[in-house]
Amino acid sequence: MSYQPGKMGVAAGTAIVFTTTFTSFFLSVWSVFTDQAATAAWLVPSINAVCFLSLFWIVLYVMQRVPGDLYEVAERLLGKTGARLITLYFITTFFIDAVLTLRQFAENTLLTAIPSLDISLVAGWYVLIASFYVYLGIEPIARAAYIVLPVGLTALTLLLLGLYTKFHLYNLRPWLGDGLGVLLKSGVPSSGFYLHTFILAILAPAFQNLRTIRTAALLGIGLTTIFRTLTLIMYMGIFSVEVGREKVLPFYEMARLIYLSRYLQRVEAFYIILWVILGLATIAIDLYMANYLLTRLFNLQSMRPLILPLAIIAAQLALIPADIATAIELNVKADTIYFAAGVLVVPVVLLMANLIKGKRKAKSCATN
Amino acid sequence: MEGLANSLTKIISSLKNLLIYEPPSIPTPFVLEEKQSENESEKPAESSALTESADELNQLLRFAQHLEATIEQAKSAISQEPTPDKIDSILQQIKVLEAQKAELSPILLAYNSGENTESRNISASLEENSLIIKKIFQVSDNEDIIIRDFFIPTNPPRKAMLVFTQGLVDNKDITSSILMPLFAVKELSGDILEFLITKHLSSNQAKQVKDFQAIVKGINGGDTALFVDGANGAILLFTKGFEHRAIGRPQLEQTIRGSQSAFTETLRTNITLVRLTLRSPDLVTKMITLGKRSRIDCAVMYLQSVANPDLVAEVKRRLSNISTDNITAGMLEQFIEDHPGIPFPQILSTERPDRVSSHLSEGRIAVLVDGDPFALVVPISLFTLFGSPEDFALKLPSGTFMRALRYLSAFVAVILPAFYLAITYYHQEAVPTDLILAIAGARERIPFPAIAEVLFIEVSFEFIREAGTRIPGLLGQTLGIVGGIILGQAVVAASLISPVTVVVVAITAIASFSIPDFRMGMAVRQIRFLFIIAGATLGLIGVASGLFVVLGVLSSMKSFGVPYLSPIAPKTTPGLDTMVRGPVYRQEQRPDELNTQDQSRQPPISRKWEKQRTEGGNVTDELSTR
Repeated sequence: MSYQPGKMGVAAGTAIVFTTTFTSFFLSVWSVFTDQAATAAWLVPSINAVCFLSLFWIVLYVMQRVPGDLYEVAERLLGKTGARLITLYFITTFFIDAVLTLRQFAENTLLTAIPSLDISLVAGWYVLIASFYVYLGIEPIARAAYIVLPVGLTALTLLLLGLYTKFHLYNLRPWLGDGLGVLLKSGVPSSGFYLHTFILAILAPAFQNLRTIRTAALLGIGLTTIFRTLTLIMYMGIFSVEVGREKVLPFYEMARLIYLSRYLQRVEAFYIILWVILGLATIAIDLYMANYLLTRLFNLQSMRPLILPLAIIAAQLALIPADIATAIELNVKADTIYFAAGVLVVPVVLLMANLIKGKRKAKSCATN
Repeated sequence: MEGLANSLTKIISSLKNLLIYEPPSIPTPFVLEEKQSENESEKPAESSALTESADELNQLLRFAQHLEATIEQAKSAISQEPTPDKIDSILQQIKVLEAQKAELSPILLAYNSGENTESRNISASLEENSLIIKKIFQVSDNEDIIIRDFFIPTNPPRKAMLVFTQGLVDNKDITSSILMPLFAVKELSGDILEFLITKHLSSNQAKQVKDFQAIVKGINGGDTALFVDGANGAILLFTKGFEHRAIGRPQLEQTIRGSQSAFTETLRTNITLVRLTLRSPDLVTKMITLGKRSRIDCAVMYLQSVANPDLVAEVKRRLSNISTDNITAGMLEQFIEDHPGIPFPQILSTERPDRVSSHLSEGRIAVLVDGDPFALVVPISLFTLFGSPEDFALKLPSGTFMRALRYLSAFVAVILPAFYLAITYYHQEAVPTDLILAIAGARERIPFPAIAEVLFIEVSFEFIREAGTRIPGLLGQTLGIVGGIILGQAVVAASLISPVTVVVVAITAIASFSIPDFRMGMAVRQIRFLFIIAGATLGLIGVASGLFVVLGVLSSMKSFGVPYLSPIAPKTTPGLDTMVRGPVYRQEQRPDELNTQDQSRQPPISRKWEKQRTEGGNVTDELSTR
């Protein structure tokens, strides 16, 4: 089978999780959080992390008792049909994420870098590069993401430090925003943003053991949460809620504000390199996972023939939303409804199936 | 009228001669025509059935002639009074004929005729051996092969023959250690060859061989083959004495500190140089022959107790399974590396023995090819190619600083022109206003777009660089300097290129020369053009995409099973020798990615003198006094 994911460790797993969960922060999700949770939006990432990790730990608990990757675990506990449904669900989530990320990054490119370019060319370019990476496999993607990780974190830290002069702490008052209820209402569904962490469970054979997966998940989500929180604090401290909720490209707007001297200003152009690379990595990972799961689902010998057709379909679907606002809306709905459903439902279903099967086994042993 | 017609004709012909150009007559140039025959797998005539039968018959005929001659001699000896000498001579001839008779059974004759000549065993008949040698080495056309026939002065005299390649042997050695001892031999007994080796031949290396394959290999390598009539074998004697270049200084890997000796074209000398810098009994040298026609020797060297056995087996497997006519070290790289189509080198090529030794001690494997002054070291990572031989001769801050400089220079060499184009075309706001105004002012009178300027000056520098390499001696260096200066000055003065572009490209060129490995520099120069096009087309998006693609290619590459970007990706135990050159006394582990048999290189405390105290002239160990 040519779609074996190879071997990866904590570093690669952390890079995959961080890349896929943080990249959305180069898009418009900050504005959405700010709009939903007001001044308490900086707490939303933490709520997401707690919510998600507690559910992901359930999955790992089940995988501890039932060996194999997520597909095999689901097959053992829910039967072939159940496993296929779950696989189909994940295929659609990764594919939808690839499409929407592609569209939003293409729009970003036109808005911030090359306005005169045609969006279909940009989308085609991005999907071509992502397909190249899918062809290479998940190991090179993870390694590339791991190499970019410290550079990205350093660049983000410098960005945050460079804006300290514009930060006003009192823009964050009231500290709990519109209340705990609103905060939880915003935070719990948006834990769908962390859905990509399930990649570690799907590619479990590539990792040495469950401890590696657990550590990678913790580190990846931890890094994402810290940087999301810090950037949201900075964002609201600079723009305040009223202005912040209206920005289409919050990251770009923040980068534009950096002014350290005559010679160190308007550095948003240099951050293009960072978000393009992370965006391409995310699209590549999404397309790879969709390919991988499709190959698994239909028991195909190789995933390579699927790469180009899926890429072309993704590029075509990405051009369907009429404008960027529609794409952002679809992205938010996908994350908070469709992805969140998977995050909440899949672990619970697996746990229940495991418990029921465990009871049945105990009963049959007792009868014998 | 006739006169007028004649005049007109003359005028016309003289005009014709004047106006129509006739090229001078020169011989037609040689063109290697394609073969007429479509069947490329036709076997040579040697292997045809008729030729085989002819060979068999000729051999039988020669035996019959010798037998007849011996019988005639015996008859005349019997008819006259035979002297003991004559009897001994006839008996010796009979013994030779008896030995030859065993080779003349029909099955063996047929087998030998059908076989490749080189695979045959050595005959007891000197004449047969002589014929075979002449056939193998094309002696009728090949004047390098010398066949020296002589008689060993036993009673009766025994015919013998020396075969060697002129120019590869030490003639004095042949005379003093082979011919002179043989001319002093009075009798031969028992196993003739064993007798000569143990009792008469003073050559320091001598071995018996039974087949022509070993003979051919030995003669081509500078040995001398001794054939004796009646012995179904031969002796190969060490007489190598060919001219070779003395050990000189490295040409491409010059250092300020560190060893100043470099490899030469002689394999044995190179192996010796490595052994002198790594005097370990564990250091193993395995010889493999490469190339069907070139038959070049290549040595695989490794530390047996350190190198991973799977890696050793893989290297040997790849070398042994190369099928080609001719091969050199540069070609060998492409035959054995994992990704020959990718410009980034996956094998380290070095002319320094000290560098080879340090890599061998880390657990890598060295391949040395006869006739090439470069050793190949496998496996490597990208970071190996940025190491300089004097990294470890400098202290920690200097070594780390130099290494950081090299990484930065490689990055600049790839990115700078593309970055310049991206900024000037699409992201002018990123540059301070004063600077962008200066750039715009400098480019005001230039008629070409920025990308045309950059490509023009880049290609010109490549021309100058290549021309400087091809022109020998000082003229090449002068051409590079003068050409670069004059060209740069002239194009700026003519307002064809802006000064900013010249500065950018000049910095890029200098940065690319800071890369220690020549082939890595070549790869960087090649991908720079792709980045220039990407930067001009898509701005920083193109630059970022290019970086991402290059990163992907590097991440997917392997060098003999070791990921190209290790120890960073995949992350392995750091050895304080990747980005930062750590202290030499802290490098306790061998590179983790090599999976060596013995991971430990030195104990945690290698500067043991630090733990010792001197008390009144006596050295005491601090630990033992507690």
